[in-house]
Amino acid sequence: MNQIEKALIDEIKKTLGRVADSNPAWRLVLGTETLSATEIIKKLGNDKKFQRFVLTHYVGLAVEIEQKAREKIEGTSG
Amino acid sequence: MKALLVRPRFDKPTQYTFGFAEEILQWCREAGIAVVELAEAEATRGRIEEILKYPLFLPDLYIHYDHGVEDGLCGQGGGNAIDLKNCHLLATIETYTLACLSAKSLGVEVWRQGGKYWGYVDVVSFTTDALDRFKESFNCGFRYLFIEGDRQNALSRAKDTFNRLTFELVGTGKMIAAICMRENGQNLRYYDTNAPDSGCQLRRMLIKVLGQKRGWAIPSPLKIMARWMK
Repeated sequence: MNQIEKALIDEIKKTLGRVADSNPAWRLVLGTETLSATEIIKKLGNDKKFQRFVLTHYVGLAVEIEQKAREKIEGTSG
Repeated sequence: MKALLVRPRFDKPTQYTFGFAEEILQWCREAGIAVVELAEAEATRGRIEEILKYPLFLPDLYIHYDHGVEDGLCGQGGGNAIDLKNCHLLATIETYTLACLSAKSLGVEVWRQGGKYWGYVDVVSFTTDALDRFKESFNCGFRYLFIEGDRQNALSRAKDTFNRLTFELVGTGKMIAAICMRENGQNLRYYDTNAPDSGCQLRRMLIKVLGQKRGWAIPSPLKIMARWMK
């Protein structure tokens, strides 16, 4: 994991920490597993496959947000 | 149209999926689709096989809201209710499921035998802070296919729905929910006239040489090796 990915994971953990405090009943259902925010924070720390899953989608979403922004600009500039 | 709806409930995930299927049941009733429901303790391999073989009912549609594995759909308690041994029972009908992974092997086999299959090729996930949006995503294909009858565009419309919901979740700050929605959308498959895709070079070559159905009939070398090692 590079510096940027580590920083992103740290930020996600902070957000999940807030979720754990504000909504203790919050759960992620992942196949047969049901995980609390605290359990996901732990999983992000020691499960490389799960880290990769989260990072891939965050980066993927960032790309799609950028694409949408460009489409908006192109849609309004004509 | 006649449907068999199977919805076990025995752990936390199935508490939710049981609820998601309620909307499907309601749509069926409104659309005049005759439904036999096998819920909870009734959702067993034996009962499912019984209905699928019953000559006076014979459903056109099999709906399964529960866990899944690559080559099976689970029944009450978690054992396989449908797998490669009895999936011929789905060969002349259409299957609609939100189960994890089942489109990977089971769906391909059902399609190869002549059935149609709506399902997911990887683990399905959702979060409890956006249950309505996840219900919409899991059920939208059913609406497009069987209520609106838009077979040709159902998959692309469903993928658009997953995308829209992903960005709605980003907009409300529910990032974990958004990545689950995005992942589910990417893993959704519908095998009808569309053939299953494969990332395996060998499989692609077999399909090219033998044609779609025969190309998929040959088990993957990894599976052959696993069987041999057993």
